[in-house]
Amino acid sequence: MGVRPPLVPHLVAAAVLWHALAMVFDATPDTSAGLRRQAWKEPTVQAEFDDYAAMLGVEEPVLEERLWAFATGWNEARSTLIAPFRRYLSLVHCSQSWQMFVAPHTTPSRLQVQEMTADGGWTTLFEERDPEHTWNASAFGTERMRASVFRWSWPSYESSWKRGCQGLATLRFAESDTSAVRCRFWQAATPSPGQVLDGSAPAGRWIREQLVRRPK
Amino acid sequence: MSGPWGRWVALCQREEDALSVALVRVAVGFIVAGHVAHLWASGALPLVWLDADHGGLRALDGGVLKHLGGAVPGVVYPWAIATMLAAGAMVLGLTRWATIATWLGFWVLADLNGQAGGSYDELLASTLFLLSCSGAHRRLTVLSPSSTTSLACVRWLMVGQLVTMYFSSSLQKVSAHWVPWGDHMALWYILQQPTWQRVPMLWLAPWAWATRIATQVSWWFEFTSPLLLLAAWFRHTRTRGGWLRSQFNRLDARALLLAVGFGMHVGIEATMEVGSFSLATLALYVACFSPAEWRASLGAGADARCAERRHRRRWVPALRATSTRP
Repeated sequence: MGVRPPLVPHLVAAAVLWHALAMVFDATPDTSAGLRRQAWKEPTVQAEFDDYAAMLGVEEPVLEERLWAFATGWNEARSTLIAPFRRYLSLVHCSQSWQMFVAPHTTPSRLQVQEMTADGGWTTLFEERDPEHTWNASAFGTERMRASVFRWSWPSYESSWKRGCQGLATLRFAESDTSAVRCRFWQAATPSPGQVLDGSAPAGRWIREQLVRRPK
Repeated sequence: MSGPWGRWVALCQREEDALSVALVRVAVGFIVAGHVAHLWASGALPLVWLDADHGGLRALDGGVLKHLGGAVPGVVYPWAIATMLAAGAMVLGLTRWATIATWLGFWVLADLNGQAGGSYDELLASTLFLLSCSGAHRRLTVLSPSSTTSLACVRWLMVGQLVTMYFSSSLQKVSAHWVPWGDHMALWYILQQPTWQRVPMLWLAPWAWATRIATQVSWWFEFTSPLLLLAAWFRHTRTRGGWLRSQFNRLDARALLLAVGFGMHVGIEATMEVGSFSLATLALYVACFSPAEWRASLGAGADARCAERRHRRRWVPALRATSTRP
Protein backbone atom coordinates (compact mmCIF):
# COMPACT_ATOMS: atom_id res chain seq x y z
CA MET A 1 0.00 0.00 0.00
CA GLY A 2 1.22 3.48 -0.80
CA VAL A 3 1.89 6.15 1.80
CA ARG A 4 -1.14 8.32 2.43
CA PRO A 5 -0.82 12.03 1.76
CA PRO A 6 -0.79 13.94 5.07
CA LEU A 7 -4.19 15.51 4.35
CA VAL A 8 -6.04 12.20 4.05
CA PRO A 9 -6.15 11.35 7.79
CA HIS A 10 -7.66 14.76 8.49
CA LEU A 11 -10.25 14.31 5.77
CA VAL A 12 -11.17 10.87 7.11
CA ALA A 13 -11.48 12.24 10.65
CA ALA A 14 -13.61 15.15 9.42
CA ALA A 15 -15.84 12.81 7.43
CA VAL A 16 -16.38 10.51 10.41
CA LEU A 17 -17.22 13.47 12.65
CA TRP A 18 -19.55 14.91 10.02
CA HIS A 19 -21.39 11.62 9.60
CA ALA A 20 -21.73 11.13 13.35
CA LEU A 21 -23.09 14.65 13.87
CA ALA A 22 -25.49 14.31 10.93
CA MET A 23 -26.73 11.02 12.32
CA VAL A 24 -27.30 12.36 15.83
CA PHE A 25 -28.90 15.68 14.82
CA ASP A 26 -31.18 14.10 12.23
CA ALA A 27 -32.31 11.55 14.81
CA THR A 28 -33.79 14.26 17.01
CA PRO A 29 -37.57 13.79 17.00
CA ASP A 30 -39.22 15.17 13.89
CA THR A 31 -42.79 16.22 14.64
CA SER A 32 -43.61 17.51 11.16
CA ALA A 33 -45.30 14.29 10.07
CA GLY A 34 -47.75 14.53 12.96
CA LEU A 35 -48.48 18.24 12.62
CA ARG A 36 -51.84 17.84 10.92
CA ARG A 37 -54.95 19.10 12.67
CA GLN A 38 -57.01 16.49 10.86
CA ALA A 39 -54.86 13.66 12.24
CA TRP A 40 -55.11 15.14 15.74
CA LYS A 41 -58.87 14.62 15.63
CA GLU A 42 -58.51 10.84 15.23
CA PRO A 43 -59.88 8.90 18.23
CA THR A 44 -56.50 7.40 19.11
CA VAL A 45 -54.81 10.81 19.15
CA GLN A 46 -57.68 12.39 21.08
CA ALA A 47 -57.47 9.61 23.65
CA GLU A 48 -53.76 10.39 24.13
CA PHE A 49 -54.56 14.07 24.67
CA ASP A 50 -57.27 13.12 27.16
CA ASP A 51 -54.86 10.89 29.10
CA TYR A 52 -52.18 13.56 29.30
CA ALA A 53 -54.67 16.34 30.09
CA ALA A 54 -55.98 14.30 33.01
CA MET A 55 -52.44 13.50 34.12
CA LEU A 56 -51.35 17.13 34.00
CA GLY A 57 -54.62 18.59 35.28
CA VAL A 58 -55.31 20.88 32.31
CA GLU A 59 -58.18 21.15 29.87
CA GLU A 60 -57.68 19.04 26.76
CA PRO A 61 -58.08 21.93 24.24
CA VAL A 62 -55.55 24.00 26.19
CA LEU A 63 -53.04 21.14 26.20
CA GLU A 64 -53.62 20.57 22.49
CA GLU A 65 -52.89 24.22 21.66
CA ARG A 66 -49.77 24.28 23.83
CA LEU A 67 -48.51 21.09 22.20
CA TRP A 68 -49.19 22.49 18.75
CA ALA A 69 -47.18 25.62 19.58
CA PHE A 70 -44.35 23.58 21.12
CA ALA A 71 -44.18 21.12 18.22
CA THR A 72 -44.16 23.94 15.68
CA GLY A 73 -41.37 25.77 17.49
CA TRP A 74 -39.41 22.56 17.97
CA ASN A 75 -39.62 21.80 14.28
CA GLU A 76 -38.33 25.22 13.34
CA ALA A 77 -35.37 24.84 15.68
CA ARG A 78 -34.69 21.33 14.44
CA SER A 79 -34.82 22.42 10.81
CA THR A 80 -32.15 25.03 11.53
CA LEU A 81 -30.01 22.46 13.33
CA ILE A 82 -30.05 19.86 10.56
CA ALA A 83 -30.02 22.28 7.61
CA PRO A 84 -26.24 21.90 7.02
CA PHE A 85 -26.57 18.10 6.99
CA ARG A 86 -29.73 17.72 4.93
CA ARG A 87 -28.08 17.54 1.53
CA TYR A 88 -25.46 15.07 2.74
CA LEU A 89 -28.01 12.79 4.39
CA SER A 90 -30.14 12.84 1.29
CA LEU A 91 -27.15 12.04 -0.91
CA VAL A 92 -25.95 9.06 1.12
CA HIS A 93 -29.47 7.92 2.06
CA CYS A 94 -28.75 7.84 5.76
CA SER A 95 -31.73 9.78 7.07
CA GLN A 96 -32.63 9.01 10.67
CA SER A 97 -36.37 8.94 11.12
CA TRP A 98 -37.04 6.50 13.92
CA GLN A 99 -40.73 6.99 14.57
CA MET A 100 -41.54 3.44 15.50
CA PHE A 101 -44.81 2.73 17.30
CA VAL A 102 -44.75 6.18 18.88
CA ALA A 103 -48.34 5.72 20.01
CA PRO A 104 -50.28 2.48 19.77
CA HIS A 105 -53.44 2.69 17.69
CA THR A 106 -56.22 2.04 20.20
CA THR A 107 -58.98 2.12 17.58
CA PRO A 108 -57.35 0.11 14.79
CA SER A 109 -58.94 -0.66 11.46
CA ARG A 110 -59.17 -3.97 9.64
CA LEU A 111 -59.29 -4.03 5.84
CA GLN A 112 -62.01 -6.03 4.15
CA VAL A 113 -62.34 -6.62 0.40
CA GLN A 114 -65.58 -8.00 -1.04
CA GLU A 115 -66.99 -8.75 -4.47
CA MET A 116 -70.57 -8.52 -5.64
CA THR A 117 -72.33 -11.83 -6.22
CA ALA A 118 -74.71 -12.50 -9.11
CA ASP A 119 -77.73 -11.84 -6.88
CA GLY A 120 -76.43 -8.45 -5.78
CA GLY A 121 -75.11 -9.61 -2.42
CA TRP A 122 -71.52 -9.48 -1.20
CA THR A 123 -69.00 -12.18 -0.57
CA THR A 124 -65.84 -11.50 1.39
CA LEU A 125 -62.56 -12.12 -0.41
CA PHE A 126 -60.06 -10.83 2.08
CA GLU A 127 -60.07 -9.64 5.64
CA GLU A 128 -56.92 -8.81 7.54
CA ARG A 129 -55.75 -11.66 9.79
CA ASP A 130 -58.85 -13.70 8.98
CA PRO A 131 -57.84 -17.30 8.13
CA GLU A 132 -61.08 -17.87 6.18
CA HIS A 133 -60.84 -14.94 3.75
CA THR A 134 -57.40 -15.12 2.26
CA TRP A 135 -57.53 -13.73 -1.27
CA ASN A 136 -53.95 -12.59 -2.05
CA ALA A 137 -53.16 -12.95 1.65
CA SER A 138 -49.50 -13.79 1.06
CA ALA A 139 -48.98 -10.51 -0.79
CA PHE A 140 -51.16 -8.46 1.54
CA GLY A 141 -49.41 -10.01 4.54
CA THR A 142 -45.98 -8.63 3.65
CA GLU A 143 -44.80 -5.73 5.74
CA ARG A 144 -44.74 -3.30 2.83
CA MET A 145 -48.39 -4.00 1.98
CA ARG A 146 -49.33 -3.80 5.66
CA ALA A 147 -47.67 -0.38 5.85
CA SER A 148 -49.74 0.79 2.88
CA VAL A 149 -52.99 -0.60 4.23
CA PHE A 150 -52.30 0.97 7.63
CA ARG A 151 -52.05 4.40 6.01
CA TRP A 152 -55.19 3.90 3.90
CA SER A 153 -57.33 3.84 7.02
CA TRP A 154 -56.30 7.40 7.96
CA PRO A 155 -58.29 10.36 6.56
CA SER A 156 -55.12 12.12 5.44
CA TYR A 157 -54.42 9.29 2.97
CA GLU A 158 -57.81 9.55 1.25
CA SER A 159 -56.43 9.77 -2.29
CA SER A 160 -54.08 6.80 -1.75
CA TRP A 161 -57.00 4.81 -0.36
CA LYS A 162 -59.17 5.51 -3.39
CA ARG A 163 -56.35 4.52 -5.77
CA GLY A 164 -55.56 1.48 -3.65
CA CYS A 165 -59.11 0.17 -3.71
CA GLN A 166 -59.24 0.83 -7.45
CA GLY A 167 -56.08 -1.28 -7.81
CA LEU A 168 -57.52 -4.11 -5.70
CA ALA A 169 -60.68 -4.06 -7.83
CA THR A 170 -58.62 -4.17 -11.03
CA LEU A 171 -56.80 -7.22 -9.66
CA ARG A 172 -60.11 -8.93 -8.94
CA PHE A 173 -61.75 -7.98 -12.24
CA ALA A 174 -58.86 -9.69 -14.03
CA GLU A 175 -59.66 -13.03 -12.41
CA SER A 176 -63.42 -12.92 -11.83
CA ASP A 177 -66.65 -11.94 -13.62
CA THR A 178 -67.88 -9.93 -10.67
CA SER A 179 -69.49 -6.60 -11.48
CA ALA A 180 -68.22 -4.67 -8.46
CA VAL A 181 -65.68 -4.74 -5.65
CA ARG A 182 -66.14 -3.12 -2.28
CA CYS A 183 -63.32 -2.17 0.08
CA ARG A 184 -63.84 -0.90 3.61
CA PHE A 185 -62.39 -0.91 7.11
CA TRP A 186 -63.89 -2.25 10.30
CA GLN A 187 -62.86 0.16 13.03
CA ALA A 188 -63.29 -0.75 16.67
CA ALA A 189 -61.61 0.20 19.91
CA THR A 190 -59.20 -2.46 21.13
CA PRO A 191 -60.74 -4.13 24.16
CA SER A 192 -58.87 -4.00 27.43
CA PRO A 193 -57.70 -7.34 28.87
CA GLY A 194 -60.60 -7.11 31.34
CA GLN A 195 -63.12 -6.63 28.55
CA VAL A 196 -61.71 -9.64 26.71
CA LEU A 197 -62.02 -11.79 29.80
CA ASP A 198 -65.62 -10.79 30.54
CA GLY A 199 -66.60 -10.89 26.86
CA SER A 200 -67.70 -7.27 26.57
CA ALA A 201 -66.01 -6.26 23.30
CA PRO A 202 -66.41 -2.59 22.33
CA ALA A 203 -68.72 -1.82 19.40
CA GLY A 204 -67.22 -1.05 16.01
CA ARG A 205 -68.31 0.42 12.70
CA TRP A 206 -67.51 0.23 9.01
CA ILE A 207 -65.59 3.23 7.71
CA ARG A 208 -64.09 4.53 4.48
CA GLU A 209 -66.19 2.36 2.19
CA GLN A 210 -65.24 2.39 -1.49
CA LEU A 211 -67.24 0.80 -4.28
CA VAL A 212 -65.59 0.14 -7.63
CA ARG A 213 -67.75 -1.06 -10.54
CA ARG A 214 -66.34 -3.01 -13.45
CA PRO A 215 -65.58 -0.63 -16.32
CA LYS A 216 -68.05 -0.99 -19.20
CA MET B 1 -0.22 15.80 16.30
CA SER B 2 -1.59 16.62 19.71
CA GLY B 3 -4.71 18.14 21.23
CA PRO B 4 -8.30 16.91 20.82
CA TRP B 5 -8.27 17.10 17.01
CA GLY B 6 -4.97 15.27 16.79
CA ARG B 7 -6.26 12.52 19.05
CA TRP B 8 -9.45 12.30 16.99
CA VAL B 9 -7.47 12.02 13.76
CA ALA B 10 -5.33 9.30 15.31
CA LEU B 11 -8.42 7.44 16.54
CA CYS B 12 -10.01 7.56 13.10
CA GLN B 13 -6.84 6.17 11.51
CA ARG B 14 -6.82 2.99 13.56
CA GLU B 15 -7.22 -0.13 11.50
CA GLU B 16 -8.42 -3.51 12.67
CA ASP B 17 -9.11 -6.91 11.19
CA ALA B 18 -12.18 -6.54 8.96
CA LEU B 19 -13.83 -9.69 10.33
CA SER B 20 -16.58 -7.94 12.35
CA VAL B 21 -17.71 -5.68 9.51
CA ALA B 22 -17.38 -8.59 7.06
CA LEU B 23 -19.84 -10.56 9.18
CA VAL B 24 -22.21 -7.57 9.11
CA ARG B 25 -21.74 -7.46 5.33
CA VAL B 26 -22.65 -11.13 4.89
CA ALA B 27 -25.71 -10.77 7.13
CA VAL B 28 -26.96 -7.61 5.39
CA GLY B 29 -26.38 -9.17 1.96
CA PHE B 30 -28.57 -12.13 2.89
CA ILE B 31 -31.20 -9.82 4.40
CA VAL B 32 -31.48 -7.60 1.31
CA ALA B 33 -31.53 -10.51 -1.14
CA GLY B 34 -34.02 -12.39 1.02
CA HIS B 35 -36.24 -9.34 1.44
CA VAL B 36 -36.55 -8.63 -2.28
CA ALA B 37 -36.96 -12.33 -3.09
CA HIS B 38 -39.70 -12.70 -0.48
CA LEU B 39 -41.52 -9.65 -1.79
CA TRP B 40 -41.34 -11.08 -5.29
CA ALA B 41 -42.41 -14.59 -4.31
CA SER B 42 -45.36 -13.34 -2.25
CA GLY B 43 -46.72 -11.36 -5.18
CA ALA B 44 -46.40 -8.06 -3.34
CA LEU B 45 -43.59 -6.62 -5.45
CA PRO B 46 -45.78 -5.35 -8.32
CA LEU B 47 -48.40 -4.07 -5.87
CA VAL B 48 -45.97 -1.84 -3.97
CA TRP B 49 -43.25 -0.98 -6.49
CA LEU B 50 -45.13 -0.65 -9.79
CA ASP B 51 -47.10 2.39 -10.83
CA ALA B 52 -50.90 2.12 -10.61
CA ASP B 53 -51.15 2.04 -14.41
CA HIS B 54 -48.95 -1.06 -14.48
CA GLY B 55 -50.43 -3.23 -11.75
CA GLY B 56 -49.48 -1.26 -8.65
CA LEU B 57 -51.79 0.19 -6.03
CA ARG B 58 -50.50 3.76 -6.05
CA ALA B 59 -49.45 6.37 -8.57
CA LEU B 60 -45.64 6.38 -8.41
CA ASP B 61 -43.34 8.87 -10.08
CA GLY B 62 -40.56 6.29 -10.28
CA GLY B 63 -37.99 8.23 -8.28
CA VAL B 64 -34.54 7.70 -9.79
CA LEU B 65 -36.00 5.05 -12.10
CA LYS B 66 -38.04 7.65 -13.97
CA HIS B 67 -34.85 8.33 -15.94
CA LEU B 68 -34.99 4.72 -17.12
CA GLY B 69 -38.70 4.64 -17.86
CA GLY B 70 -40.35 4.85 -14.42
CA ALA B 71 -41.97 2.32 -12.11
CA VAL B 72 -42.92 -0.03 -14.92
CA PRO B 73 -42.35 -3.80 -15.10
CA GLY B 74 -39.60 -3.51 -17.72
CA VAL B 75 -37.55 -1.39 -15.34
CA VAL B 76 -38.49 -2.46 -11.81
CA TYR B 77 -38.15 -6.22 -12.33
CA PRO B 78 -34.64 -6.05 -13.85
CA TRP B 79 -33.66 -3.57 -11.13
CA ALA B 80 -34.91 -5.93 -8.43
CA ILE B 81 -33.00 -8.84 -10.03
CA ALA B 82 -29.85 -6.71 -10.24
CA THR B 83 -30.23 -5.75 -6.57
CA MET B 84 -30.55 -9.39 -5.54
CA LEU B 85 -27.51 -10.32 -7.63
CA ALA B 86 -25.53 -7.44 -6.14
CA ALA B 87 -26.55 -8.58 -2.65
CA GLY B 88 -25.40 -12.09 -3.54
CA ALA B 89 -22.09 -10.72 -4.77
CA MET B 90 -21.85 -8.73 -1.55
CA VAL B 91 -22.29 -11.91 0.50
CA LEU B 92 -19.40 -13.45 -1.46
CA GLY B 93 -17.30 -10.36 -0.86
CA LEU B 94 -16.83 -9.52 -4.54
CA THR B 95 -15.13 -6.16 -3.95
CA ARG B 96 -16.49 -2.96 -2.47
CA TRP B 97 -18.47 -2.35 -5.66
CA ALA B 98 -20.87 -5.17 -4.84
CA THR B 99 -21.75 -3.41 -1.58
CA ILE B 100 -22.09 -0.06 -3.31
CA ALA B 101 -24.33 -1.63 -5.97
CA THR B 102 -26.50 -3.23 -3.27
CA TRP B 103 -26.78 0.09 -1.44
CA LEU B 104 -27.79 1.84 -4.67
CA GLY B 105 -30.15 -0.92 -5.75
CA PHE B 106 -31.88 -1.15 -2.41
CA TRP B 107 -32.53 2.51 -1.71
CA VAL B 108 -33.77 3.09 -5.24
CA LEU B 109 -36.34 0.33 -4.73
CA ALA B 110 -37.24 1.45 -1.21
CA ASP B 111 -37.71 5.04 -2.40
CA LEU B 112 -40.21 4.02 -5.06
CA ASN B 113 -43.13 4.01 -2.66
CA GLY B 114 -42.78 6.00 0.53
CA GLN B 115 -46.09 4.66 1.84
CA ALA B 116 -44.96 1.03 1.61
CA GLY B 117 -41.87 1.00 3.73
CA GLY B 118 -40.63 0.92 7.24
CA SER B 119 -37.73 1.93 9.41
CA TYR B 120 -35.78 -1.06 8.13
CA ASP B 121 -35.41 0.75 4.79
CA GLU B 122 -33.48 3.55 6.46
CA LEU B 123 -31.56 1.18 8.70
CA LEU B 124 -30.48 -1.06 5.82
CA ALA B 125 -29.58 1.91 3.58
CA SER B 126 -27.51 3.47 6.38
CA THR B 127 -25.77 0.19 7.15
CA LEU B 128 -25.04 -0.45 3.48
CA PHE B 129 -23.53 3.01 3.17
CA LEU B 130 -21.26 2.40 6.15
CA LEU B 131 -20.30 -1.02 4.79
CA SER B 132 -19.42 0.64 1.48
CA CYS B 133 -17.03 2.91 3.36
CA SER B 134 -15.45 0.05 5.29
CA GLY B 135 -13.06 -2.72 4.39
CA ALA B 136 -15.81 -5.30 4.91
CA HIS B 137 -15.15 -6.82 1.48
CA ARG B 138 -11.62 -7.81 2.52
CA ARG B 139 -12.62 -10.70 4.78
CA LEU B 140 -14.87 -13.72 4.29
CA THR B 141 -14.38 -13.24 0.59
CA VAL B 142 -13.85 -15.58 -2.31
CA LEU B 143 -11.25 -13.17 -3.66
CA SER B 144 -7.73 -12.65 -2.36
CA PRO B 145 -7.51 -9.03 -1.25
CA SER B 146 -4.12 -7.50 -0.60
CA SER B 147 -5.30 -6.24 2.79
CA THR B 148 -7.61 -7.75 5.39
CA THR B 149 -8.11 -4.65 7.52
CA SER B 150 -10.76 -1.98 7.86
CA LEU B 151 -10.92 1.38 9.59
CA ALA B 152 -12.13 0.65 13.11
CA CYS B 153 -14.08 3.94 13.21
CA VAL B 154 -16.57 2.61 10.63
CA ARG B 155 -17.45 -0.28 12.92
CA TRP B 156 -17.92 2.21 15.73
CA LEU B 157 -20.20 4.27 13.50
CA MET B 158 -22.30 1.13 13.10
CA VAL B 159 -22.54 0.79 16.88
CA GLY B 160 -23.42 4.50 17.00
CA GLN B 161 -26.10 3.95 14.35
CA LEU B 162 -27.65 1.20 16.43
CA VAL B 163 -27.67 3.30 19.57
CA THR B 164 -28.95 6.39 17.76
CA MET B 165 -31.86 4.42 16.38
CA TYR B 166 -32.86 2.97 19.73
CA PHE B 167 -32.48 6.22 21.67
CA SER B 168 -34.27 8.35 19.09
CA SER B 169 -37.08 5.82 19.01
CA SER B 170 -37.49 5.98 22.79
CA LEU B 171 -37.65 9.79 22.73
CA GLN B 172 -40.57 9.55 20.33
CA LYS B 173 -42.49 6.95 22.30
CA VAL B 174 -44.33 9.65 24.22
CA SER B 175 -47.73 7.96 24.29
CA ALA B 176 -49.24 7.64 27.75
CA HIS B 177 -49.25 3.91 27.07
CA TRP B 178 -45.44 3.77 26.71
CA VAL B 179 -43.90 6.12 29.22
CA PRO B 180 -42.96 4.99 32.76
CA TRP B 181 -45.59 7.31 34.27
CA GLY B 182 -48.32 5.87 32.02
CA ASP B 183 -50.38 2.68 32.09
CA HIS B 184 -47.74 0.51 30.31
CA MET B 185 -50.35 -0.85 27.91
CA ALA B 186 -48.53 0.02 24.67
CA LEU B 187 -47.58 -3.52 23.71
CA TRP B 188 -51.02 -4.86 24.57
CA TYR B 189 -52.54 -2.41 22.06
CA ILE B 190 -49.82 -2.90 19.45
CA LEU B 191 -50.18 -6.66 19.57
CA GLN B 192 -53.94 -6.33 18.98
CA GLN B 193 -53.45 -4.21 15.87
CA PRO B 194 -54.32 -6.19 12.72
CA THR B 195 -51.72 -4.26 10.74
CA TRP B 196 -48.74 -5.66 12.61
CA GLN B 197 -49.83 -8.82 14.40
CA ARG B 198 -48.96 -12.20 12.89
CA VAL B 199 -52.08 -13.80 14.34
CA PRO B 200 -54.93 -12.46 16.50
CA MET B 201 -53.59 -11.96 20.02
CA LEU B 202 -56.65 -11.58 22.25
CA TRP B 203 -55.64 -14.88 23.88
CA LEU B 204 -52.99 -12.85 25.70
CA ALA B 205 -55.62 -11.26 27.95
CA PRO B 206 -54.97 -13.47 31.01
CA TRP B 207 -51.27 -12.63 30.69
CA ALA B 208 -51.66 -8.92 29.99
CA TRP B 209 -49.30 -8.26 32.90
CA ALA B 210 -46.54 -9.74 30.74
CA THR B 211 -47.17 -7.17 28.02
CA ARG B 212 -46.94 -4.43 30.68
CA ILE B 213 -43.54 -5.72 31.76
CA ALA B 214 -42.41 -6.05 28.15
CA THR B 215 -43.55 -2.48 27.49
CA GLN B 216 -41.40 -1.19 30.31
CA VAL B 217 -38.41 -3.32 29.41
CA SER B 218 -38.60 -2.17 25.77
CA TRP B 219 -38.89 1.53 26.66
CA TRP B 220 -36.13 1.46 29.25
CA PHE B 221 -33.86 -0.60 27.01
CA GLU B 222 -34.20 1.95 24.21
CA PHE B 223 -34.00 4.96 26.51
CA THR B 224 -30.79 3.72 28.16
CA SER B 225 -29.27 2.48 24.90
CA PRO B 226 -26.46 5.10 24.96
CA LEU B 227 -25.09 2.90 27.75
CA LEU B 228 -24.51 0.27 25.08
CA LEU B 229 -22.06 2.54 23.28
CA LEU B 230 -20.33 3.26 26.58
CA ALA B 231 -20.28 -0.42 27.54
CA ALA B 232 -18.87 -1.42 24.14
CA TRP B 233 -16.15 1.22 24.46
CA PHE B 234 -15.32 0.16 28.01
CA ARG B 235 -15.11 -3.43 26.81
CA HIS B 236 -12.82 -2.37 23.99
CA THR B 237 -10.56 -0.48 26.42
CA ARG B 238 -10.88 -2.86 29.35
CA THR B 239 -7.15 -2.88 30.04
CA ARG B 240 -7.35 0.76 31.06
CA GLY B 241 -8.11 1.65 34.64
CA GLY B 242 -11.07 3.42 36.21
CA TRP B 243 -13.82 2.46 38.61
CA LEU B 244 -16.70 2.91 36.13
CA ARG B 245 -14.94 0.89 33.44
CA SER B 246 -14.27 -1.96 35.82
CA GLN B 247 -17.90 -1.95 36.98
CA PHE B 248 -19.13 -2.16 33.39
CA ASN B 249 -16.74 -4.99 32.62
CA ARG B 250 -17.35 -6.95 35.81
CA LEU B 251 -20.37 -8.65 34.21
CA ASP B 252 -19.81 -7.52 30.61
CA ALA B 253 -22.58 -4.90 30.56
CA ARG B 254 -22.39 -4.81 26.77
CA ALA B 255 -23.31 -8.50 26.45
CA LEU B 256 -26.12 -8.08 29.01
CA LEU B 257 -27.60 -5.11 27.14
CA LEU B 258 -27.37 -6.93 23.83
CA ALA B 259 -29.00 -10.00 25.38
CA VAL B 260 -31.98 -7.85 26.44
CA GLY B 261 -32.17 -6.36 22.95
CA PHE B 262 -31.91 -9.80 21.36
CA GLY B 263 -34.79 -11.02 23.50
CA MET B 264 -36.85 -8.00 22.49
CA HIS B 265 -36.29 -8.66 18.80
CA VAL B 266 -37.07 -12.36 19.16
CA GLY B 267 -40.36 -11.32 20.78
CA ILE B 268 -41.08 -8.89 17.96
CA GLU B 269 -40.34 -11.51 15.30
CA ALA B 270 -42.47 -14.12 17.04
CA THR B 271 -45.55 -11.93 17.34
CA MET B 272 -45.38 -9.23 14.68
CA GLU B 273 -44.70 -8.80 10.97
CA VAL B 274 -42.35 -5.84 10.70
CA GLY B 275 -40.37 -6.89 7.66
CA SER B 276 -36.62 -7.06 7.93
CA PHE B 277 -36.42 -4.69 10.87
CA SER B 278 -35.32 -7.14 13.54
CA LEU B 279 -32.82 -8.91 11.30
CA ALA B 280 -31.37 -5.60 10.07
CA THR B 281 -31.01 -4.47 13.68
CA LEU B 282 -29.47 -7.71 14.86
CA ALA B 283 -26.96 -7.52 11.99
CA LEU B 284 -25.62 -4.39 13.68
CA TYR B 285 -25.25 -6.29 16.96
CA VAL B 286 -22.42 -8.13 15.21
CA ALA B 287 -20.47 -4.85 15.01
CA CYS B 288 -20.59 -4.54 18.81
CA PHE B 289 -18.02 -7.33 19.10
CA SER B 290 -14.39 -6.84 18.13
CA PRO B 291 -12.72 -8.93 15.42
CA ALA B 292 -10.65 -10.63 18.11
CA GLU B 293 -13.81 -11.71 19.93
CA TRP B 294 -15.30 -13.07 16.72
CA ARG B 295 -12.09 -14.93 15.92
CA ALA B 296 -12.08 -16.45 19.36
CA SER B 297 -15.67 -17.64 19.08
CA LEU B 298 -15.74 -18.65 15.41
CA GLY B 299 -12.22 -19.43 14.35
CA ALA B 300 -11.42 -22.73 15.99
CA GLY B 301 -14.77 -24.35 15.33
CA ALA B 302 -14.90 -23.20 11.74
CA ASP B 303 -11.39 -24.47 11.12
CA ALA B 304 -12.15 -27.91 12.45
CA ARG B 305 -15.34 -28.27 10.42
CA CYS B 306 -13.79 -27.20 7.19
CA ALA B 307 -10.26 -28.53 7.42
CA GLU B 308 -10.88 -31.06 4.66
CA ARG B 309 -12.06 -28.38 2.29
CA ARG B 310 -9.27 -25.91 2.87
CA HIS B 311 -7.64 -26.49 -0.48
CA ARG B 312 -10.86 -25.54 -2.23
CA ARG B 313 -12.41 -22.86 -0.03
CA ARG B 314 -10.94 -19.52 0.84
CA TRP B 315 -13.28 -18.27 3.56
CA VAL B 316 -12.16 -20.45 6.42
CA PRO B 317 -8.42 -20.37 5.70
CA ALA B 318 -8.78 -16.61 5.60
CA LEU B 319 -10.40 -16.82 9.01
CA ARG B 320 -7.63 -19.04 10.30
CA ALA B 321 -4.85 -16.99 8.81
CA THR B 322 -5.85 -13.98 10.83
CA SER B 323 -6.47 -15.94 14.01
CA THR B 324 -2.80 -15.66 14.83
CA ARG B 325 -2.66 -11.94 14.27
CA PRO B 326 -2.27 -9.65 17.27
